[in-house]
Amino acid sequence: MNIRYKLSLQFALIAAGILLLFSIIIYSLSEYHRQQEFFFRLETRALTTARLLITVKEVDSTLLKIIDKNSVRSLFEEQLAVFDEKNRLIYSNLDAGALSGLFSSDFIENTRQNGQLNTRLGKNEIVGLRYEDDQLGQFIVLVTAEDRYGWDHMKALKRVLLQGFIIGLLVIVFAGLVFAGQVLAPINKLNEEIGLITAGNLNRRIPEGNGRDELAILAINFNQMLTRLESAFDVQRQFVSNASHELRTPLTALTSQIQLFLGKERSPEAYQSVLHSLYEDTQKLIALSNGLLVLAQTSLEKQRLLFRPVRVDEAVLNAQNDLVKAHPNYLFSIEYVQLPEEESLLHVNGNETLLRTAFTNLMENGCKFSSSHSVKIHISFAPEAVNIAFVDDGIGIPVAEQEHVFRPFYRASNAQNQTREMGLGWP
Amino acid sequence: MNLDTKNVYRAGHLIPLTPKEFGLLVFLIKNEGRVVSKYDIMEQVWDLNFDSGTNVVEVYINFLRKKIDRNYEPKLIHTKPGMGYYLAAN
Repeated sequence: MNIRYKLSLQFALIAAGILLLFSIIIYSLSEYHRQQEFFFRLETRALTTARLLITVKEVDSTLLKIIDKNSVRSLFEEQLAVFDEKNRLIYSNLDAGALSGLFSSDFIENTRQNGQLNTRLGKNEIVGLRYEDDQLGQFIVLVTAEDRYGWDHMKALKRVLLQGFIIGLLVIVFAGLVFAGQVLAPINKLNEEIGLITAGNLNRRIPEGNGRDELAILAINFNQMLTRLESAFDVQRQFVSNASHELRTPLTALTSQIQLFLGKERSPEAYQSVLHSLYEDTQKLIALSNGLLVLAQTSLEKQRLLFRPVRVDEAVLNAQNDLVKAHPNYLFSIEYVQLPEEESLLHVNGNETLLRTAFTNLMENGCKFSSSHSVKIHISFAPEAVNIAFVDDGIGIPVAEQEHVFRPFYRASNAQNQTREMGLGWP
Repeated sequence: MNLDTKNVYRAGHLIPLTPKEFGLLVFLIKNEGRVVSKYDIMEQVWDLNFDSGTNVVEVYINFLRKKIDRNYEPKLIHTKPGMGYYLAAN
């Protein structure tokens, strides 16, 4: 079940519950008032009869019966009985024996004790009343009747309430569907927009609405995620294109070198020299592809890198070793700014190979881009850290471009034509 | 000293050395009793080109001394001021 139907169902259930409760309360209150009113009418009837029969001397039971039978406003299915102190029936509006037995002797006794008793039996309401006369003593008047008029009213009310409930329920369900649809419309729109975004159009953004409500925040967050994805994608794309470019150039150079050389017969010395040159170029290519591999692995497997305590100065010395072997003209000067008293000062938690690569790159870059081909390395200690400064007198990197140094293959604008070497960027 | 396992013991205790420290100790032992200069150490032990500004050798000699000599007698690594270092048992 989708959220729209779920929402409207819940909404309808709640509203229907309230409506039902409301109807029940209205019905019960109306019923209560109907009964109270009918009791009052029965009570009046009993009192009138008692007065006429007992107190008014001119009216005897025969006359009263005639009056009762001809009364226009008589109650429906009315039964009235008057009993004396000894529970003998002294008057009834019906003929003798026509009383339906609604008046039990228990009820008469209870009325005698309580003064007045109102109750209901089936469709009939019964009122019992104790009537005192100064001379003739105590009498019990019982009246019962069916409140047909009231019941008709209650039936009508029931019908109206039921109809109201059904119509209300329909309106609520419809309104709920419309309401839920309206609430969810922006989400559906969002879904459609999101569905349009593929790897090919990551630059597409979804509308951020009013910028304030929850959906707008969702859209904003989604857009921010897209931005991060896009930049990650860009880095990958640029990396691949750079990598293929970096590999293609030396490969093309190699090919043309071989083609040119194969053009005519050469002396053995020339073969040797060219083979030597080819060998060097191939070595460089291998180093480059190895570097690419390391770079790709490093970015992909950051979690799997092994970190352990590394003597950083030894990593620097090893980097220096590597570089001096390849470039005997490079000059490095390592200086400890403070003399380390404890070996532990020089231990950092890291990956030795990667640190060595990083140092090699920094030192090599420093030498490559400075006329003296030298780099000074200053090692100093801070609490919990070792600072290593690589100082060269080269061209430096323009401040505006310094944030790009960690991008693979990035080359500062002032170094574009300085060297034909290939660079993997700083790790 | 075991050149194959690159383990160094003194008085029965294994002394943990870094590869560079180990190389330095091997060099000092080979030249036992002879004074070797900073220049020799840089060039011959670590294959590095010598630069006068560096104090790498001092730092390494210092560490090596701490590991080899601090808790033991007699002291083995000695300094010949202004000239270099030598290894001797007296």
